[in-house]
Amino acid sequence: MPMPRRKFLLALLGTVLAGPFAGSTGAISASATPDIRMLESVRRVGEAYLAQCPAEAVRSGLLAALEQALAGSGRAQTAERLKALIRADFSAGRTIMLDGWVLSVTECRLCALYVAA
Amino acid sequence: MIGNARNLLDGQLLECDICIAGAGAAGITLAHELSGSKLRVIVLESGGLNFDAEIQSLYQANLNNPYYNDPEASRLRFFGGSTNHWTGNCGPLEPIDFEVRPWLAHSGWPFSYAHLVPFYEKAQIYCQLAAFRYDLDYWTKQRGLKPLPLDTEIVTAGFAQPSPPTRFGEVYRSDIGSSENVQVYLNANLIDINLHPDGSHVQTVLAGQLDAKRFQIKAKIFVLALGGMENPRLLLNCDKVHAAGIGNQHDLVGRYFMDHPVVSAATFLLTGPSINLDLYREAPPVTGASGETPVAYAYLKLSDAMLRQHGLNNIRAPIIPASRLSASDGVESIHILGSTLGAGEWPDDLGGHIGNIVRDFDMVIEKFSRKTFNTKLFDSADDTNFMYSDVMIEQRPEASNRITLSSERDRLGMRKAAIEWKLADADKENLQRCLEIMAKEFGRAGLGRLRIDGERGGRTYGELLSYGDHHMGTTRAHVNPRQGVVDGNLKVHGVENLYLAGSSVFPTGGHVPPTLTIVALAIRMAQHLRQQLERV
Repeated sequence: MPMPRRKFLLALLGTVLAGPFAGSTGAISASATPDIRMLESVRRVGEAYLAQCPAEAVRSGLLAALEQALAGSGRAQTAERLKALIRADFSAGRTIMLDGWVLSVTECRLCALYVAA
Repeated sequence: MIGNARNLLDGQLLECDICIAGAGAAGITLAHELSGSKLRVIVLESGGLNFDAEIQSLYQANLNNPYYNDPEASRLRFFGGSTNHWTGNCGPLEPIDFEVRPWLAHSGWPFSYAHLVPFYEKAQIYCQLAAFRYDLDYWTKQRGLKPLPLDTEIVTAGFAQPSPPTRFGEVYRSDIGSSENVQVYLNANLIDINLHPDGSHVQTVLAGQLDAKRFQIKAKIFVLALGGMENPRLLLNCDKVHAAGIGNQHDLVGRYFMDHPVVSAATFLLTGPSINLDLYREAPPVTGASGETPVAYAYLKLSDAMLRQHGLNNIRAPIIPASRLSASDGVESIHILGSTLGAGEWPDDLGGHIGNIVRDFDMVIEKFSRKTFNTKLFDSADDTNFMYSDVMIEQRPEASNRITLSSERDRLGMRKAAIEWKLADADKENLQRCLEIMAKEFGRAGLGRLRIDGERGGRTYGELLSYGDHHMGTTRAHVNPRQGVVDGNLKVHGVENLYLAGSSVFPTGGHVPPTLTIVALAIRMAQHLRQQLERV
């Protein structure tokens, strides 16, 4: 039975974004426990991204953008592929500034997808 | 010898080969270098051997910017000058700083970095530093530490060496005091420069004390080593022959005044606990047979390739651990609301500030508790999950930033300085672009994320802005008298025997504290003056 999409997204976010987003400040700030902090950060980044890029506010569009980027990756490889994509975003200058944080477009899309899911 | 000008007679005339005004890092180095030569040297020092509030008050100036540091607090007017309270952060300017940079107006020194290297090497000794090495390979091997795995073609590490810090007045007092050819006069304020009526050379200078006693010095060569504000102030005050002041035929004296603004500009969130930042932290000196040797520490900067590609002026970004409390947005919002509402205004983004306070409420309470009751409530307030950076930036030379004369006079009858200083929007934009490049490289390297802490309720470039108190550029060097007050030998254009020492001659200031360069230039000047006078 396939993993529900939201649960899968959470697992991905935990793997890909836990490092960057845990325990930080501002747009990706949090309090209390690390998990809640991270999800609060993800939600804020996702909302800020959707506000800044309203053209991508449709869930299907976000999914399509990510699926295109991940084309050919198996589920097991997805997390590593996403990490590589995020680094490639920084390398190519595909970044966006949210509340001062310089973030990759891919990680912002992931967060936005979580908000939209 | 170190004597007291109070023992001189009113109206007395002293004669020497070289008269140096000012006994700070530049003046003391110059005198020390000339000690032992056949030249008779007189050094005039405004203060005594210790702080004197009455003498210090001669630094009083009028400031146009309420946030800029008052020189009466940032300078010291006694033997040793401001080295009596400097922090000792040392390094040479970089080779690119000496070049004409097409993207930076008024850039370019009259000589190259390579020319200055032998003098820098000797300056290291004056400042009690380690070997003249500031490169990544050397210090990573010396300290046995690795730098952050960044692409050094994009973001690299610069190094600073900490001087003990050398108190020039204390360290070199004995040498100068026992010198047979150097005579220091304490309590000797330079008051006037008497030019020949045709303006071609200095005949004598007038010095004196607050009690109106005056004496004159006749010399072959005169050197002003009074600091980046006092050098131009004196030149502008001496207006008997040239109405605009000495060396000011092209309206350059006092202009292009620069400092090193220090901006609380960035927060680093580093991922992974395995990142070792020890190379970026100060370490105690190494004790060996020859005493203590300082250990350099690293900061982040952009590569020359990036600067050239993007037309940027460099910055130095140290990486400093920050606690959750010190980096709290909620606490910052409290400050902004307090200052803006207190001034009877509404802040921009009121909702955002309220949101920050609600989200960070535990840290807001923590701050209140610590401030009011001196009590810590939450251990997590001291968590250091991230780093911050107070970034020192190169300020571009702007003619509108300047030292002029106010209508008020000091107790010696000289007009006080009026200081006009502001940071150009282009410098703020330059900082933003540099940090964006750093942020992308951190992300690419998988090291973490960087937050650019932009303007916060008008405070970032207001009350939160701090300064190196490095006064530079006010008598800039250039081979063309239309573009510089002094030439490549640091002699005032058009005046054959008047030289200027110190950071007032810097055409540009880089991102590096200036003392090592000041000392190197003084050593170079000593060599030049000996060549000029000993060959006669």
